[in-house]
Formats: sequence, C-alpha cells, structure tokens
Amino acid sequence: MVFSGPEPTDSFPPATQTISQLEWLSQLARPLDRAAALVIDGIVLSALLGLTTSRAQYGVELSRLLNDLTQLKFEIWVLVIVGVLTMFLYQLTQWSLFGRTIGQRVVGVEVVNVFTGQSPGLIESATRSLFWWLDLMFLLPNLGIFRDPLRRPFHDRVSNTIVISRRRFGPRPHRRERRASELVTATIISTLTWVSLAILSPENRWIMSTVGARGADLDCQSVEEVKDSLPEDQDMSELELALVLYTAGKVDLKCVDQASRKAAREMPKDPLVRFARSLSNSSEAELSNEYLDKVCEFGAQSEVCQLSKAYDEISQGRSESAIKRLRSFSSRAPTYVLLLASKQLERLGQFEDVHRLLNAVVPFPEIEDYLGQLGVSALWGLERDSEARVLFQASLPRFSSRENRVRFASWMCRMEMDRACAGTQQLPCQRFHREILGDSTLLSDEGIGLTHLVHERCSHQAPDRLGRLARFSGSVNLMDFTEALADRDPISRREKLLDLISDSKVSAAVRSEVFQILLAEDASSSIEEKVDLFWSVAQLSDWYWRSAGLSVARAIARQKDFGKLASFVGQWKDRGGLPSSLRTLDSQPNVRLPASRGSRK
Amino acid sequence: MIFPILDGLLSAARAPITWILFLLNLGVHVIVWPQVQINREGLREIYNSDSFLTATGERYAEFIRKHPEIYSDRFVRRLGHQADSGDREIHLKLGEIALRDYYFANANAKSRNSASDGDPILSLFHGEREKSIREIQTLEPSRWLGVSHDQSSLERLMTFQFIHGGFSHLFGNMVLLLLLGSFLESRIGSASLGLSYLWGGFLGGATYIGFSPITNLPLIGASAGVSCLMGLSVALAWTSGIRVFYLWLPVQRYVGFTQLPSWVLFLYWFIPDLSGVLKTVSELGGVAHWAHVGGVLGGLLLGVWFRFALAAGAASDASRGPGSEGSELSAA
Repeated sequence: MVFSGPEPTDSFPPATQTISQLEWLSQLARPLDRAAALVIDGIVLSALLGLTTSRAQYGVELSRLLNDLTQLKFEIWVLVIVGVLTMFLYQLTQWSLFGRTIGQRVVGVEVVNVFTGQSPGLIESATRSLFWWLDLMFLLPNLGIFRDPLRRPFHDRVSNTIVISRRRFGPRPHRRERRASELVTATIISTLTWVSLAILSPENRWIMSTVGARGADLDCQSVEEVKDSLPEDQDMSELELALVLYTAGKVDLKCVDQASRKAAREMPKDPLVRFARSLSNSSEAELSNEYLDKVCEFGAQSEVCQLSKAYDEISQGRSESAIKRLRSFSSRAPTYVLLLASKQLERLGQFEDVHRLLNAVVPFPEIEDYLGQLGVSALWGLERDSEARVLFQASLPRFSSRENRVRFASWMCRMEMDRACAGTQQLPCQRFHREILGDSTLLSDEGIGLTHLVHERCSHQAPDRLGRLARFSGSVNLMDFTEALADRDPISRREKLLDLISDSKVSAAVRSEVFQILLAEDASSSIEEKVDLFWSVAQLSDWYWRSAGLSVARAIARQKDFGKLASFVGQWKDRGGLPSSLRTLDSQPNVRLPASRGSRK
Repeated sequence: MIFPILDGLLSAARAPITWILFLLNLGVHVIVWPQVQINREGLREIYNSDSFLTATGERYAEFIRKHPEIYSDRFVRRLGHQADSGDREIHLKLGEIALRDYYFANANAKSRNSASDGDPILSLFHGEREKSIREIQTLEPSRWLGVSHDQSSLERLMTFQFIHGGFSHLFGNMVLLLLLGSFLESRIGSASLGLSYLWGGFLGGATYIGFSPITNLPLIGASAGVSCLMGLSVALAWTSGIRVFYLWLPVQRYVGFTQLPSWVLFLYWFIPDLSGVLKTVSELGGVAHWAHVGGVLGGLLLGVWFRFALAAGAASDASRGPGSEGSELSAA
C-alpha cells in the first residue's frame, strides 16, 4: 500500500491512438479496490463536508432553537446545496486534474477515457460525477460493474470512462502542472468554505431579506386577540379566557400554562390561578397536587374550590360525590366554571345538568360551536331528538374548519343511525351527505364506511335505508352494492355480489368490502371455492389483495388444514407479493411451504 | 477508518511517564466515579422537570432583559425577546441554556430569590430543587478539579487534565495518550513528555477560557494534553510520516498498517475540531473544541522547537564523532 500513485511506465500506445476495448481487459480495477476507494473518499468527504457546511449546520441549529421555520428551511437548503456542491466539486477537480480521487490514489486505481487512455476532461468528469451520484441514489445501475465485461457501470458508460488499476497510457501531467492543479483545488475548496462561512451565515440579514425570511409565528396569540374582541359586558381575564378556550378545544394546554404563569406573578394566591397551575402541571403529579391542595386555602366556598374538589374526586373514582358538587353551580358561576363542569358532567352522563349549565353560559363566537356540540349531546342523551336536530342544524355552520364540521356531522349521523336501527326514526343523513360533505371523493369513502356500519348494526332490517343512503352518497358503485346487500333472496344476492366483485369498473374499496362480506357470510362454501374467489379478485390493488388473501389464509387456518394452507401460500408465493407475515409459516413445524422454483432439484 | 499506531505500546520501563500519566488519569477516575454517578442521578431528576425548566427560563429571560451588555450580540438575546410572548417552549429552551450560563448562575447564587418569584408554591417547590443543585455542585468533582471562567488558577489548569466525564471519554483519551506517549517518550525523553502533556493541557485550558463563551460548565479531560501530543507527534514526524492502522473494507488486502504523511494525520485530527468550533452553538456545545484546537497548535509549536533543538543536538553530536543517535525521528 503506497500513498502516492504509480509512476507512468511508458507512453504506449500514443495518446492520440484509439485504444481497443479488449486492451483494457488485463488492467481493469478490481471491484473491491473501487469499493475501498469509495470508503476512503467517504472519510475525506466527511471531513471536507464538516468544514464547508459547518456554518450552515450552525445556522440550522440556531434557527431550530429560535423556532424560526422560514430560516430553518433556508438553512437546510444552504446545507444541502453546499454539501452537494462540495461533493460534486471534489470529484470534478480530482478527476479532471489528477484522473483519480484521493481514495483511488490510495488504492492505486484511476479513471481514464476509454478511447484515448487520457485522464478525463472537465466535461467527462462533470458527467461522470453527476451520474455517479445518480447511480449511488438508485443503486441498481452500479450493479453494471459485475455485468459489463469492462466493469463499467452506467456512469462510466455515459462519460466514456473506465477505471483501471494502473496508469499505462498517456503521459502524467508535468510537475508544474500538478502544482498548479493542486493550487486550483485548494483555492476552490477554501473559497467554498469561506463563502459558506461569510456570506451564508444566519447573521447575514441581506440574504435573509432576499429570501423573504420572517420571524416565527407564535402560539397562543389567539387568546389575547379573542379577549380584545369580547363585548364589554363579558369581561374576562386572560387566564379565564385561556381556560374557556382550552375547554372548548381551541387552544393547547400550554396556553393555560402561559397565562397562569403570568397571572401567578400578580395574584399568586388566587384560587383560579392555582387551579390553572395544577391543570397545566398535570404531567408533574407532585407539583400539580401541591397546587390543587392549596386552591381552597383562601376561600373554601368559592366555585373554583368546588370545581377543584370535584376534579380530585373524579380522579379518585368518587363520581357521585363529584356530580353532587358539580350540580351545585348556579347560573351566576363564571363561564369557565360552567364550561368545565358541563364537560365533566357530560362525561359522567348527567345530561340534564349539562343542559341546565349550558343555558347559563353567555356565548361568544369562538365557543359557540363547542356549546352547540355539547348541547346536542345533552339533548340527545335526554332523548329530545327533534330539539337536538334543530340545535345540530343551527350549530353546524358555526364550526370554522371543514374537518371539525365533518367530524361533528359524522358523529350526528352515527347517532341517528343508532336510532334508525332501533326503528324509531328515519335515517337523516341527507344533510350530512348533500350539504356538508359536498365532496365526491369523501362521499364515496364515507359512504362505504357508513354502509358497512348500517349493514353491521342493522343487519337486514333496514334495506330501504341502505338504498337511501347510497342515493344520498351519489355513488353508482355504492348504489349497486347496497342494492345487492338489500336483496333478500340469498341466491340472487350472491350472484349480484359476485357480479360486483368481477366488474373491474367497480372501485377496489367496494370490491374488497364485497369480498369480505362474501367470505364472512358464505360459511358453507368450501375452502376451494374461497380460494377460487380470492384468485378472481387478485387483480385488485396490492393492498386490498393482501388483505383479502390474509382473510382466506385465516379461514383455511381455522379449519386446521395445513396442507391446503401450504399449497395456497405456495401458489401465492409463486405469483409474487406474498406478505411477510405469511412467510414465517415456513418456520412452523407442521407447515412446510413448497420450495421456491429456484431451489427445486 | 484510520487509527494512529505510531510505535505501538511501549513497556512501563521504556515509557514510564506515559504509564504514570495513564495511571493517574485512571486512578482519579476510579476514585471520583461513584460520587459522579450519585450526583448525576440527583441532577437528572431535577432537570427532567418541565416546570423547573420553564420557571428558570422565565427568570433567565428577565435576566437577559436586565443585562443587555452581556447578551448584546448573542442569540440568547433573540430568544429572550421571543420569551416576551410567554411561550412555554421558548422558556423551556431558555431554561436549558440558563443552567449552563455562568453570569446567570452567579447572579442566582448571590440572590436569595428562588427560580419562581411571586408564586409561593412554586417558590417552595423549586427552592428545594435549587438548594439540591447547589449541594450537588459542591460535591461534584468536576467543580473542584475542573477549569471554569472564575476558577482558572494554575493548579486547576493542571488538575482538570486528570478527570473525565465518563468511561468513553476516559477510554478514548487514554488509548491515544498511551500510543502518542510511547512514541514521544522514546524520542524526546520522559521529562519532556510529562512537561509537554501539562503544557498542552495548560494551553488548551487557557484557549478554552480565552475563546470559548463563558459557561457555567467546567472544562475537564485529558483531551487538551492529548491534542498537544498529537500536534507534537505531527511536527516531529513531519518528514518520516506516521504509522497507522487502516481498515477500508473488512477484507484481508484492505486492512493493515501503513505509513501516512504527518500532515494527513494533522488534517484528520484538526479539521473535525475546526468544524466543531464553527458549527457548535456555543451556549449548548458539550465538547470543548477550543481546548483541542489550543492543544494541537501548542503541540505543533512545541514540536517545531523540539525539531530545532534536536537537530542542533544532532549537529553537535555529529561534530563530536560517529555513533551518536542524533535526531532519528522516523517511525519504526
């Protein structure tokens, strides 16, 4: 092992002469040599990268600490660009100036032009470097090193280069030229380092303003904004408001923590402050209990004290005592007490009290949706369905985000379905489907879920309702599906379902549902029929196919017929796409999978 | 991977000071380690508390606001401004930084207020924790042997070189100390090696104090001394190269020993430290890169001086006649 490369032996054949590819065969670099060169270059590059990207790494760390996402994105881009440039320039300069990188120099291989035997030029080196990285990314083209007779992977073929073990042809650069090349390399690398150090530093305001960087968005700002927008007769402290908004799911617990820490400096003995501190420190039980114990220190009869005691009782499982305490609040209690108490009472199933307390709350826009949701839940719990529906319709538009609207409507729809199956009311998901979702893709997905739900819950008692649900959803697939499900005649029903499953126009989701239903319902069919059914749906997408196949495998396994199971898995293995969970069957003592085709003798 | 082997390990008879330095480091580590473990457990319990960190961060933000002269150009000032919004996450980050801040820790120790003024419950709760931290710190060996910005006496600049933060810290330093020490002791003599180690540590410690931002964490470890020995070896073996073990691939032909030019080893050691200095956010860094840089450069300087001295010695020996050992610096 020598560090400096081998001296040129002679200049045969002349540099201008085109070399036959066969002449290279005796001098090809060993693949292991090339791999070792890669490892050494990795070491060199990691040191170089550490240096050139050091400032960008500093910037990434700094902007992460300052939570400045815009700057963080910028720094990551700088890091990537400087990193890629360093790697690219390293190879470019090394190959174009010396014909070998440091790693190649150490192991004694070099890159030459396959036709002339000269060191690659600038263009060839750049092409080789570019495709070298692409090859590395996709890995596969590198396998060309074993398949190509001249061990030229894709990047070598594109750039007309070859890697040989010794330099045999062409003169080595003159000493003065070598010195000049070294100087150029050193200049490029040091310039790059200093550019990244000086210009791209995070303190450089010019760069930051050019890319439009701005300060990070801060959380919990909304509490102050809401406070400013409250009507004058609803005066609430920031802490009270934070508690209300937290209860309504509008802000995170950290906003309560933030507001309570601020309030604790001014009114450390205030019961509400201590209650909020207890709530916000719930991850530290000891400290949280310390606060909760002291809430009643200066006012045992205050609402906050009663609320904290109720919380304590709930955590200890004394629900009845807690309910009694929570019921004691009158309409004069502050909003946060009423809301927190309502939330707890709803969880404990005390809908009458929830309804009463909610009536006492003076609403403001940010919590109206929450009040509506809680109100509908209470009315529904009290079986005042028509009032619940009216309140539902009135509350729905108050949800600002579509996601929450869908969630609330979906919840309502399920509640309605429970009633529908009980036979007391008609299915009222029309509004849910037509007016709320209003999105054909969501319609179809939700529709399948709901259809399945009705099918599961209501069995065959509500075929009309299923049909109506499908019509509401507007999905042709779903209409056929529900029509088949609603068919009371088992033979025609099975035929319709089989038609659906074999129709490639029907969506994969519906076909998968049909498959699962057929598999579950048709208990009398033999294993062979189930397997045939499975192969008939094998054109479904991978995911559904696997899920369907696993159901079949489970059905066979339940019958403890391991011979059939092994044959089924073997067939699947041969066709490809066998899930890994089934591959382990091979290791079980009573199951032997057929040997794969490659290993059969 | 490359790893310097130099002359390999020499026996205690041939490299006594190297082994004495090794045993001193090992002995100190064995003696202080049980106490370090106990302290670490105690501190971990406190530092895991979010409420403690946020309260400390809140107080730190106020401290930053009151002392713009200290934090004029540091990023913590920006973080302190962001804390005005009361964001819990920022207070948490500030809390972590505050625990390393020298000025804040000093002001805290002098002040009777606890981390949470105004809130008696938190005050009581965290007052106990702060007391525990102070008690632990008085028992912490790194606090009475390590170098910090207010404890940088000459004896501390010597003692910090013999205490380590953990087994991996000790192991890494000791392997290099034994190899570099063996190599150098046979060339420059035992006394010179001992003095070089101490000189490197002294210089590393001084560089750390001079260039590193002021932190509350003491500097410990033999790294600075070992870095000095690295620099010294590089300078002394500049013409002959350094013997290294290499492993490119786990295949016979690609594993072995070779002679590498010294400057390659110098870059191999120096570049990571230089990058470390440039990329580390100084308020949060755990490795004293500046001490390494100081040690390596100190070693290089010393090496140049030794080369001249040894060359002069060789010249005078040569003038006296054949048979003198002279400045044979090449690695065996």
